[in-house]
Amino acid sequence: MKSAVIVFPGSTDDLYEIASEVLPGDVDRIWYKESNLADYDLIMLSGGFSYGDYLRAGALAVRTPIINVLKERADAGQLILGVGNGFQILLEAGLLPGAMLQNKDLDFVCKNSNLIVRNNRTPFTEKYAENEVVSIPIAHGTGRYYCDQQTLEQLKANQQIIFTYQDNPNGSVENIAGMINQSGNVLGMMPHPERATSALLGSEDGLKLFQSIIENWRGNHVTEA
Amino acid sequence: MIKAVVEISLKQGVLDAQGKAIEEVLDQYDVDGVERIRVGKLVELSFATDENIEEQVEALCDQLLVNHEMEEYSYRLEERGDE
Repeated sequence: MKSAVIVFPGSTDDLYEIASEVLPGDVDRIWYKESNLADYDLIMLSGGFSYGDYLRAGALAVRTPIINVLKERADAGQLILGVGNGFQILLEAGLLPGAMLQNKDLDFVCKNSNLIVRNNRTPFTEKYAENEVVSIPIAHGTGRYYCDQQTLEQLKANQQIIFTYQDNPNGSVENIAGMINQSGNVLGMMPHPERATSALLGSEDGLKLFQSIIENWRGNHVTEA
Repeated sequence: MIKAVVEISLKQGVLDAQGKAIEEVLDQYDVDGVERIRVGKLVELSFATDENIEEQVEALCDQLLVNHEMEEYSYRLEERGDE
């Protein structure tokens, strides 16, 4: 298995560090000026503040050429995971519907959050039980998910809402914390599963997300083994 | 030469958390007629040409400056003064 984390100016590195530990095979950091993403089974967009969140969170990162390559890979069905700022980038890129606003109470919220797994029939969540409550930390000031009513109805009808907050910390529509695209290969979430991969960090509940991805990869490559 | 002044605001119906926060301190001031506050962004585009200004402003707003999921915009054109 081969994975990549796209790095923009202002991206944080913890997703790369943890992915390198928990995923089998190589995990490469790909600087945003590069353009080859073809060889990867999983492409990740990490947290942070790309371009200082200037204009809008994620808005300037998606105007770089690597995002066009990312869109091609998304269309080809490659697995793409965006966490925190990575989720904001997926929204600004139009790979996921809706937009992200400043938190309702204007606070930067940094704490553990209880999430409910709403759909475990995805390559990212198959190791979780449906409606399982998991503790995964959040750390964001711009995490209020917004979409219009028509989009929300589509998200519900297609079961694209993957994680919801138990105690909505930012005013997101329908408590949405994480969502997937209609094809089921692009997941964006504000909570940080990479920061919940060890009891030492306070929770291991994020591990199952990475284990789900590994399981999915093994399922697709079993005949090659 | 021309300057475009673009005003970007959240769509009606989208909660403006900054506007709400400012409303909460209004009672500290000797002003009682303000019913609602909305906070937006102002972007100035200074042009080195007089050609196709409106097309360029609208292209940039549609493709970069404005997120139509949550925002709307208007703009006005002014003569550039001494800058």
